[in-house]
Amino acid sequence: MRLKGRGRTARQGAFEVLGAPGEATGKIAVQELRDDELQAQGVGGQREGVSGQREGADGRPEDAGVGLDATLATQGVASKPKRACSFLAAAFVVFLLGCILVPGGMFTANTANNSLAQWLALGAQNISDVCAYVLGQGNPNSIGFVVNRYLVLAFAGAALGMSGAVYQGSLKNALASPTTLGVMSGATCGATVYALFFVTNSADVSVSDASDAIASVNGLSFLQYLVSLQGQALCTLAGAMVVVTFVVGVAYVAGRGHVSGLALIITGQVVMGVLGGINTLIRYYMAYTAPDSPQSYAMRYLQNGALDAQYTLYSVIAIGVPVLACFAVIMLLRDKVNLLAFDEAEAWTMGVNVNRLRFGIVALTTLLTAVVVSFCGAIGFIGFFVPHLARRIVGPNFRYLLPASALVGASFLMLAYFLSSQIGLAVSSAIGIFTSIIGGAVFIAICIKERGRRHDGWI
Amino acid sequence: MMAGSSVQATRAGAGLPARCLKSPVFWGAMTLVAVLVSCCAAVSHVEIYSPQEVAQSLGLLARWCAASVFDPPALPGLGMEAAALGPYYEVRTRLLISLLTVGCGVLLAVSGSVYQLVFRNPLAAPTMLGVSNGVQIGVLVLVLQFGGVAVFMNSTRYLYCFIGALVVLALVLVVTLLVCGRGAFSVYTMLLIAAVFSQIFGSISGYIVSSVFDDETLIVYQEILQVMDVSVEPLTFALLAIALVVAVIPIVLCSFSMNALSFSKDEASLMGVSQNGLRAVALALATVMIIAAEVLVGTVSMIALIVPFISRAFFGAEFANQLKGDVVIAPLVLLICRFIADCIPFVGLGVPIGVVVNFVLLPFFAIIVARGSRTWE
Repeated sequence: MRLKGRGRTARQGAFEVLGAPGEATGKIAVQELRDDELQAQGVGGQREGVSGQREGADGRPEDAGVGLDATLATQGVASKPKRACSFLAAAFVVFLLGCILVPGGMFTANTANNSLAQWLALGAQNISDVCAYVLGQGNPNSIGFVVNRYLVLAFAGAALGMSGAVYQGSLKNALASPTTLGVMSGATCGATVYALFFVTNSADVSVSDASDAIASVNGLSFLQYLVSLQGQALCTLAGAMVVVTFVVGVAYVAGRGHVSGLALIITGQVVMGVLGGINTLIRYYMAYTAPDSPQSYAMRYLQNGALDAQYTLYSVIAIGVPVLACFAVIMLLRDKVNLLAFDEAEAWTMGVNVNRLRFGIVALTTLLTAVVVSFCGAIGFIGFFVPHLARRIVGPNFRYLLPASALVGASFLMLAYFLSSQIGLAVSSAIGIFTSIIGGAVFIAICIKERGRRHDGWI
Repeated sequence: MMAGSSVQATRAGAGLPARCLKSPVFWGAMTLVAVLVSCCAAVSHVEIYSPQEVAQSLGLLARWCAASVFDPPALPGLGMEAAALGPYYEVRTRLLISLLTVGCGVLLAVSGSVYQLVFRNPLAAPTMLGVSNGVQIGVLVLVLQFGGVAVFMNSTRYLYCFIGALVVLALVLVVTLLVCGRGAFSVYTMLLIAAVFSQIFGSISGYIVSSVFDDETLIVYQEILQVMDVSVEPLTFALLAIALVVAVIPIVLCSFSMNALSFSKDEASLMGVSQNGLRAVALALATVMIIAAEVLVGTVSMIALIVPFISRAFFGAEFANQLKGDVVIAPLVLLICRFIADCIPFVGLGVPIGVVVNFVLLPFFAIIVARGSRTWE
């Protein structure tokens, strides 16, 4: 049942419904909608705040109908999710600038004796270096590497946040994420297979520092750079696609035409275990037979994540373009994705081919995840936790949830890397710990704070 | 009449395989055959022994065991020629490993059945509460503290793994209680919290394994975690016996009452069963079982997920019957997987049994999930 009108519940928040506002004020009875449908409409499931009456023209309460006849007057209420998204965008810009401009390594042994004046001087130097870099006046003090690195992190975080939101929304499962569905394990397995069979020189896939990173792309055109990545990227993508096809396919068959939530998660866990075993076996084999071989080194490097090599503008473009393209496509489909929260029969009546949409959008999201793993390795927890956080800020409407998840994911990953760089652990393999610990702590804190007010595992 | 007799005979004949499959005796006999085959089986670096040699060795073992009860003699004093002792030690080791495998199979399958009954979901697995991560953390701490020497420290390994598993479990339960509040305990919340901790501990262990360990330490870590060198010390069997006595026997004794967990609360109270109490106790015992199994034989949690399905399919959903199936089917499956793992020529200490179990049982898992059959009836 669809409602028309726009207004505000007695308690909090605005719920957005379709159609033209009417004249009468009051509240709409929404008892006939389920919680997930209410959430998709932005009500947040607090139906107890909504009554079945409205004020008539004479100010006396009268019964309001449900559906097309029930109307609300707009009260000039600004959309809370819109403001929240604007706030998140501003926060993202602030975090990006802060991470770039604030000097790193504040809590390492080398800089323990630095005074405040020295830190401020370093910060001021960073500001002038960034301005020079942005204005095309060179790359003073290698500030360009820092800028490029954080841009890569921003794209990766945005991609993971969006992936999680899409997985959870389209599969209607609060536990769905690139990690719990085994997609990351599949992508890592693909990278391992690539290292095992296609790497002959470890320098082909790994670099030690920024100068190596620059040297590896020196003289290459962007197209040549992309071609050099194709084997690794294709294997990573193939691994991710095979896993997600298997997991979603099994859950779809188990659900008899719709995706069974628990089958999805359990199958994902099982596949994660199987692929983890394969990775372990391969690592054990290489460690035993050829510990210093290029393949062993490349395998360890790729499983840790290749973020250490992402210093160049090529990296930013190579990860940014697919992320932005997928984001654009998903945003075009965002209204249809909202409909996936409804019953399939209802979605069909609204002209949506549910299966095709669901599988298409899951495939697109898997591509996003594979791109991130290919460049940055398996960074866990962001795809699981960020959508929950974004949903609390902007609600479940995908119109706002998608950009919010992207912004929160980008900010979160940049902050995690920034914190790890402050204590001297700015390597890709350490980011996963930070994202998991910080994200886990925040997630549990929110759950404790909101005890008893969650619905079906959503926080 | 002749035709009718032949039809009846045909029907009887056709029912015989089905009756066999539903008979615990059949499965028990298959398990015994698997144990004997494993005593003869070829490990990648050891020759195959003939059934005669195995029978001689087992006879020698039996005579030695019987004699040692009254008067422990020296082995040559039994009158065996030195040449006949050749396969004795190897066969004895294989037998002990097989017995350990049988015991761990029972632990895994029974814990899986209990979890599926407690959570009332055929896809519930004992490792959903993060026990595997706890064992992994225990092994990590052991290797970080003792390095390569940790391979020889079985008792310390058991202790660290138990403590790791219990710590993770306690964290999950405490946080779940904090999140749910009093009187509103939710299983789904517990799974959510367990998934969160699983990711945290997984990332920590992944970082340490990938970035801190060199290749030699990585080898040691994997060999310990996957229990690639099975220990047949008395301590191992003592742990197995404790787990069986403390955890499995009470479940068997309460098997009739356990059926009440699949009923509604009112129906259970009519049977005189307190669901909450029974559920908590059953869950605790099943967790002890899965911890013991993972410590003794490595990560083979698929057994706990799949074997209960097979048991229910052949023996029915009544819990006591299902237990019979668990006790005879799981050891057989695990023995077959160990046989396969032993026969695959691989570097180091061979292929971990957990990897073989995953590959062997993954198709079964997919079929079971895809059929969507609860097989409760």
